[in-house]
Amino acid sequence: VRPVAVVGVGQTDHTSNRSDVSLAGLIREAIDRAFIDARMALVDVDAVVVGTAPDLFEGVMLPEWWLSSALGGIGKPVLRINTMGSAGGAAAVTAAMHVACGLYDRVLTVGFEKHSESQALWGLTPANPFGRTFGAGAGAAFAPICRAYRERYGAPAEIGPRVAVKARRNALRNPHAHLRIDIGVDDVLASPMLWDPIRRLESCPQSDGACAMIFASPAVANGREDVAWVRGAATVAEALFSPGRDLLRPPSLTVCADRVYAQAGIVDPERELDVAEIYEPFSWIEPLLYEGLGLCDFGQGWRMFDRGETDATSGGRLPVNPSGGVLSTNPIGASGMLRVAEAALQVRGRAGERQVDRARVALGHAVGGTLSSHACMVLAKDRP
Amino acid sequence: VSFVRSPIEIVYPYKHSTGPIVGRALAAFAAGRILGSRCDVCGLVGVPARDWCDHCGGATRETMACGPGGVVTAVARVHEPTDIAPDVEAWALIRVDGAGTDLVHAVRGVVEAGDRVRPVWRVERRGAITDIECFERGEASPAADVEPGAPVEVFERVISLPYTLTAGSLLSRFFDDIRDHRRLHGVRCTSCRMVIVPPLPACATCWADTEGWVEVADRGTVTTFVVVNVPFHGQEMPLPYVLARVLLDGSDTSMLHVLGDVAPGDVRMGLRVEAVWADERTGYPADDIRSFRPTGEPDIPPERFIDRL
Repeated sequence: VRPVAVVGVGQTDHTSNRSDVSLAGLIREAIDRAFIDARMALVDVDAVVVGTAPDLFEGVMLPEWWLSSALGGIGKPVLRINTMGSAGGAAAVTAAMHVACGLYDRVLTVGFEKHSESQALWGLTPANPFGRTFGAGAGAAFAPICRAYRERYGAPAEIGPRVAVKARRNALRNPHAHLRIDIGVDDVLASPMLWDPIRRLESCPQSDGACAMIFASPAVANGREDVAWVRGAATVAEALFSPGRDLLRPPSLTVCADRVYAQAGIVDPERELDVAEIYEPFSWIEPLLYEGLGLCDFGQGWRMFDRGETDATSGGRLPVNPSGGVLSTNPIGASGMLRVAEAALQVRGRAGERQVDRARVALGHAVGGTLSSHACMVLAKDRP
Repeated sequence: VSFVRSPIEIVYPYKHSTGPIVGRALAAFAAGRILGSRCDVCGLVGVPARDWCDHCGGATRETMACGPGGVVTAVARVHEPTDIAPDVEAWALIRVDGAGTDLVHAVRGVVEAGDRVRPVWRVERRGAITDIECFERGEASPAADVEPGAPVEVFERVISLPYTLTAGSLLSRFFDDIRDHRRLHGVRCTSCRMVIVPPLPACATCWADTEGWVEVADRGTVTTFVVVNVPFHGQEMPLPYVLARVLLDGSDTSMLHVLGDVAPGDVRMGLRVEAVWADERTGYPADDIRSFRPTGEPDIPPERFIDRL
C-alpha cells in the first residue's frame, strides 16, 4: 500500500435543529467546507464513501443514492458504510484504504445525522418480535456497562460527572461543538437520572450535523504543508453478545487499537500519542476506553482521568477529546468521523483554540454498538 | 420441528426539511405548476426543481416554470398492481418542456414513447409530486394563472414496515419448552463448553458448533442493571423499571429481563432472583416470565460472575 494523507476537513456548526436545510443541504455544507480547506473542487474527486446509520434513522431508503447529487457522486463510485455508531470512523478508514490501494487519488468521505428529523434514538430498539420490548435506547444498553465499570474497579462516583464537565469545558473552545455550556459537577449531579447510573448531562446530545474529509495520494499531498498523514487505520467488529464476553474489555477494541499501533510503529501509546479523540457517548465509557485503547492498564482508566492526565485545560500530558467529544456533539453518523477529523486537525496544527501544543501524533477512535465495533486511525504530522 | 413465526410492524414518523429549492418546487405543485431549476455550473435544468444538479453535482439557484406538457421517453406497463399504487396502469419517464432531465410519473390510457402528454392535476393539492394524479396523451393547456405560495418547508410522513420473523429450530424448541413445560434450555459449545441461553447453533466466541439440550434454572444472579427513567418510542413498561442482566444458574450467558417486587434503590449487582411465571404462556420468556424477583438468598460476590456480565 502507498502513503495516504488527509488534505481537507469540513464540518457543520453542530446544533439541535437545522430545519433551515434539507439533509442533503446539511451534508453539502460540510462537503463545501472540506473542499475550501483542501483547495480542491467536487469534480476533482475520484470516489465517495458515505458513512450512514441504518435507514430507519433517516427514514430514507438508500440515502447514499438519494443524496448522490449533493455528494457529487454522479458517474463515480459511491460506497456506503454502516457499522452502527462507528460508521463515520469506518467510512474514513475505508476512504483511506481506497487511496492506499492505489486505485484512487482523491476520495471524499462524509458522515451525517439529522437527529431533529430522524428516529436515531429509538430506531436502535425496535419492537421485539418475540414478546415484550425491554430495550430503551442506547442509554439502557450502555448503563449496565457503566455500572459494572464503577463497581468492578471501585471508581469514585464523581468520576463520571467530572468526565462530563471536562467534555463541556473543552467544547467551549470548539466553535463547531453543539453543547457549549460552562458547567460544574453540581450541575451534572442535579440533572435528571435518565438511565441510572447515567444522568442527562452524562449523556451525549442529539445533534444535527455532518463531517466531510478528503483523503489523497502522495502525488496530490506532496508540496502541501498542512496535511495529516495516515499512519494506521483499522476497523474491527465482534458479536454483540458472545459467551464469556467481558463487557468491560471488548476484544474488538483492543484488537483494533493494537492493529493501528503496530501499523504506526507505536510501542507505548500513552507516551507516543500527543492527543486522542475517542468516542464517549456516556461519561463512564471514557475511562473504560483509555484501558481498551492501551493508554493505561485495565482498571486504571479512572485513575488516569482522576490525575488530570487527559485534561487539555489543566495541562494533561495526553489530552483526550479537546474538541469536547461525543458528549458535546453527537450527529451519530458523523460522530465517528469527527473523532478522526479532529485528530487530523490537531496534527495539521489547524485546531484553533482547542489546538494541543506540539501535537504530532494523534489517535481518532469510534465505537459502534455496545462497544462491539470499533474504527481507529493514527494520524501524524510526519510522512511515513 | 415446527418453526415459531411472529409478525412485527415497525412504525415511525419522520420529518424531512425540504431546503430552499425543493420547497419552492413543492409550493408550485400546490399551485398547479411545474418548476425546474438550472445548475449554476453546467446549465442543466432539472425537473422538478432540486438543490443539486443530477449531472455534475453543482448547486442550483435559478428556478423557472417548465411544462406543463412534455414528451414521453419510455413507458413501463404495470401488469400486477401493488397496494402502494393500485390504480397505476403504467409508469413513464417524461421530459417536461424546458427540462433537461426526465420525470418519473404514472400515465393513463394508451401512451407510447414519443407521445406528447399533459399533467392531470388533482383538485385537492398539498404540495407534493402526487398533486399530479398522472399524465395522459394530449396537448397541455397553459399553466394555471396562480402564483405559488410560500415554500413548503417540511414534508412529514409515517413509515410502516411489516415483517414476519421466523425463529430457527433451536429457538422454536426453546419457546415450545417454555410454553409446554415452563422450562428454560440452552446448548453447550463443543469447544469452550459454555452453556448458551437462548440456544444458538454456533458459539459466537469460538465459532464452534453447539450440542445438547441443557436445562438451566429459572433463578439466577443479577450481574448488572439499569434503572430506566426515560420514556421512549414503543415503551411498554411503566417507568421507572429495572432492566437487569440475569445469569441463570447453569448458564454462562446472561439474559436481559425486568425486575419486580423490589425498589430500584435496593437492586445490586450479585442480587439473587427467581422468575415469576405468568399463568398463561405463549412461549416467549419476555412475556411468560413476568419479571424476576429477589429470592432473599445472600448476594453472590462480583468476582464469581464479573467475566459473564
